[in-house]
Amino acid sequence: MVLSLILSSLIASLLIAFFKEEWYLPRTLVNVVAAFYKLFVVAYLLWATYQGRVFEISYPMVPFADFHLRIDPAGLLFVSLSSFLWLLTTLYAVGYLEGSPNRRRFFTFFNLAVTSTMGIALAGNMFTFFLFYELLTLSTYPLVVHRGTQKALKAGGVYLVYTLLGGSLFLLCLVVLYTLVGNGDFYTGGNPKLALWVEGQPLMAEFLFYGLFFSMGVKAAIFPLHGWLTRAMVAPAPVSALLHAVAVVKAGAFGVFRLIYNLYGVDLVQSMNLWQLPAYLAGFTLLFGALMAVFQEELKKRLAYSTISHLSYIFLGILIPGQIATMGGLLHLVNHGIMKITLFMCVGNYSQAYGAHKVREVAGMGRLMPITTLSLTLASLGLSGIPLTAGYLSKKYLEEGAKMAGVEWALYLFYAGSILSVLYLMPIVFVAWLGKSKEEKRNFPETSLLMVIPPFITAFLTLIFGVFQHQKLNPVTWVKLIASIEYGP
Amino acid sequence: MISFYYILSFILVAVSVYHFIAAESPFKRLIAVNILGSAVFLFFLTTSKNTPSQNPDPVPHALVLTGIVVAVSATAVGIALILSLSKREKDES
Amino acid sequence: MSLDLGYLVAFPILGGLLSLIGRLRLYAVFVFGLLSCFLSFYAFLLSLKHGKPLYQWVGGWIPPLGIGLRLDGLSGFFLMFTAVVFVGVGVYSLGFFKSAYKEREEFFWFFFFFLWAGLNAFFLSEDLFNLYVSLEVLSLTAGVLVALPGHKKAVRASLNYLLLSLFASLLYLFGVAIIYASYGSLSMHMLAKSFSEGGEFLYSLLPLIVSLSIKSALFPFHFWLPPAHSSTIAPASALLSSLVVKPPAYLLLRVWIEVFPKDKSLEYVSWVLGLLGALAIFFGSYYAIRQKTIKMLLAYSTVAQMGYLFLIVPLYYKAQYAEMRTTVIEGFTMQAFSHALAKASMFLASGNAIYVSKRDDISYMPGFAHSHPFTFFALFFSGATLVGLPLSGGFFAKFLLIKASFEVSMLFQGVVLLLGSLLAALYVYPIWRESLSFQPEKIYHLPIPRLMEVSAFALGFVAFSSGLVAGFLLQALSGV
Repeated sequence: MVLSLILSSLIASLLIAFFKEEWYLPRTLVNVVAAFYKLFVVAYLLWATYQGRVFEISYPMVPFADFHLRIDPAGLLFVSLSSFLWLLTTLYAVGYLEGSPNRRRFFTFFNLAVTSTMGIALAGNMFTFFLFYELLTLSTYPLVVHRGTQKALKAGGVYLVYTLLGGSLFLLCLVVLYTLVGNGDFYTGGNPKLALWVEGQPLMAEFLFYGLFFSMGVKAAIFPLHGWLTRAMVAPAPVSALLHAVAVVKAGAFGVFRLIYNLYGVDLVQSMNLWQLPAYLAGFTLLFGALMAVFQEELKKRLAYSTISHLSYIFLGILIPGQIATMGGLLHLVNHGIMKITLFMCVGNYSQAYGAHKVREVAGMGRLMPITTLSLTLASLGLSGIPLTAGYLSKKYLEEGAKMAGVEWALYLFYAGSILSVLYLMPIVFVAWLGKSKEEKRNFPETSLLMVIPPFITAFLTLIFGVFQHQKLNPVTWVKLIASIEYGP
Repeated sequence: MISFYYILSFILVAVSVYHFIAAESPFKRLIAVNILGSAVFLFFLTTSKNTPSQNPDPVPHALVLTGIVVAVSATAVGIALILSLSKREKDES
Repeated sequence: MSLDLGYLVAFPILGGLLSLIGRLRLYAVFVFGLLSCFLSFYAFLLSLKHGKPLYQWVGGWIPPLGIGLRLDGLSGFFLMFTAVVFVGVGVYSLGFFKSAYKEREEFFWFFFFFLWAGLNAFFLSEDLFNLYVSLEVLSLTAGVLVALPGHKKAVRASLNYLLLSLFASLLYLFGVAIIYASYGSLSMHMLAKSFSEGGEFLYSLLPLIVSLSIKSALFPFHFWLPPAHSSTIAPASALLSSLVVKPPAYLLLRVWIEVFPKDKSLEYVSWVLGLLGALAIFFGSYYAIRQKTIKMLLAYSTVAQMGYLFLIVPLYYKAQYAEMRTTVIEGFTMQAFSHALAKASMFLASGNAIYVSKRDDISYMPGFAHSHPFTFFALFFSGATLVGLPLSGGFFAKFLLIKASFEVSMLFQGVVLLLGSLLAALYVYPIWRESLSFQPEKIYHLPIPRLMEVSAFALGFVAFSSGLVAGFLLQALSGV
């Protein structure tokens, strides 16, 4: 079961590598079948894990570290998010890349990236986590430079510089972890062996924590390390949508979750006050990203800065002690993923159909592409935290959590962030609906149906999750389960 | 008497190393390699007197014989390469 | 289960001889290539199963006159990956000689098999003189492989390489003679006992180490390598750069860990070698970054990658405790293994690039990712292995070695290893960038023969994914 999650996309990736470029149908078929199969497995696992069943496999890779995969509620949250969005993005990508060259290479690496995301979510120890974390770097590089233009190549270079430096730091921390502590397994409530070691070496433990935090921070684009994300926006829209809004950046955030809850343990992080410095940094990033977003003309760049800002919400939720804040952080991980992928897909539709890349250029899109614009509007409302949307829900939890932990400054930051979100998202919505354009309206559908429906589904989910708060199928239930496990009943 | 052979072999080693580094022409360097070979073989054979009994140790003889065969064939390859190189250089000019 | 280890040397030689007969050539290549490969894998499995070293005396003659062969986890591993590289390069050559250098094919296979025989003999040999003979076999065949294209540049590089290599072999023999003079034995396991009794072996260290460093192109003796490895045809470059430089480093590890006692003066020697290894990494990478042609870049990268095998020599000195020793040996073999496969794949892929673009400037290989995906995949995966990115064998090597250096608190090695992999990224990156760049007017549409594409890809992919089975591959090494 665990392996089939990883293998479904890996096999798809390898198969597609051997398919000829012209084999459009087999390739699409393999993609869609693999994605549906994965979703099916995820559904089964959600049910089984809720019943309390545990799945894991491990085999020794090197004498001191195992290749260890394990399914726990937190990992499953990330898995279900990414495999659901993988399906939608694959459909979207099939439509988006229609007729463009090198789809074989694109889907090979795209599926490899999804495989690594699965591995990151399921890793049962730091070693396995690192393997997949770096594989993600490697498999996303060809996607960033997919078009092969000078600008893309330059962005790819910047991306590699950031991630390889982060990877080296990570490797160093990993060696320290496995040499001095001797064990990097993830446990509920923290690794006991590490806790013992921390008592003897508090200073070293602090360095190790910050080292690991910053090496995850590269992928999660926290303030001084965010430079690659905005440049990586030269990638094709499906890549920006799935990888740069969900898989890659959230792999970083998820890594921090593992670091705090399953490696060090919440108690240790609280008693050593390790969360404070990262939290200040996240707070600054929140404000910085939002402010920068307001001044971006280019749509994708604006969204990228918004991602940077919203990742800090997740960080703050994870870092601030307390069950409610954790719930808020994890919930925002899901909700932001759904909303941001919608926005990226919509923006991709604009540029694909009418070549609109800047805020000014979307004028009149409400008339030309009503469904896409409707999806964009819903997701924007959600991201700004307007009531009755999913975004409101996660912000509510976050604010509640900050209040309970007595972290007043975070509370004000959340308010400021919401206001700024409105400032950078609503202009797009207003210009799209109210602006005038000379373009002739084309026939319905607005563009390929494969590109219109996925964002509409996710936008619709934003609303559903927001309205039906107390349904069992809402992510809130799952997040509650995770928080109660990590904090004890 | 034995130390004479040892000293001789060391001198030969020094000479060959010097010429190997200093010589420009590949042929001279090949000769230097051959001198080094002789020096090493001489040294090796001298060690066969090292036994406690009166009889010399046969092992170094066997090994040196093998070594000479290898050195001869290596020299042949070296000369072939030198010839082919000089032919190519002549063709060009 | 038993196996006469002599077959591992005899079969490739037979194959080489038969390949000289024109009509039989392809059959001989197929049959003996497969047989030798099968034997190497069998030997590897035997070493996995056996756990402890297996000694055999050729013809039943015991030392000092007889020749000892020994198969243990370390030699079994080297035999195995040598076979993998040979099979990959062999498959490639089948395609390669159909399209170019047709008149060279008859000689190529002969030397191909002799090189294989020499490597097998080297890895199996147990006594120092037999190692000398194998070293000479390697120098001669490698020298001819360098000269194979037959143009002036190649012949000159070959001559330089051959002379230097012969010189180094004789220096090695000189060191062996000194050892024989003092201890009256050449067998490694007998020397291990007598070395601890008297320190005369220290006199032999200078010639031995100088000759081994020349042979494996350790900085400052690396100057012969780039011209030799870059001026010949792609399959020969692949064999030379991935395999022929490895044996001396292997011998050094072997002697150091099995034979040398814990002598204080050895520590200084180990540090000198370690520093030279670090310099090799820095200079090799620096020159690799500055190269404009892909073959020179790869050749300098070999200099840098070989540096790792010497950088960790100080760890050998410390590693005379069982557990540490295992980690060091594991790191060493993993590095040798992944570099061999990745470098072979890189050279083969560069051969593909030259095949279509007819020149080897890096700036003239744009768009491989667009026109020839398999060649790009090969460059991508093997490049990632050279950098040491995870899942690749190179990552495991680096991880094990950095861990070993932390365990004995030699942070210098760990830091250099990390910097080395960043530098490797700097020289691999231009290749990736150029092959991903898309300039429609510069795309090549000439198809590459299928065998050439697939073999390069397969080697690179195996090098990259071997990390997943590292635990299995390395399990025999703890018994060494």
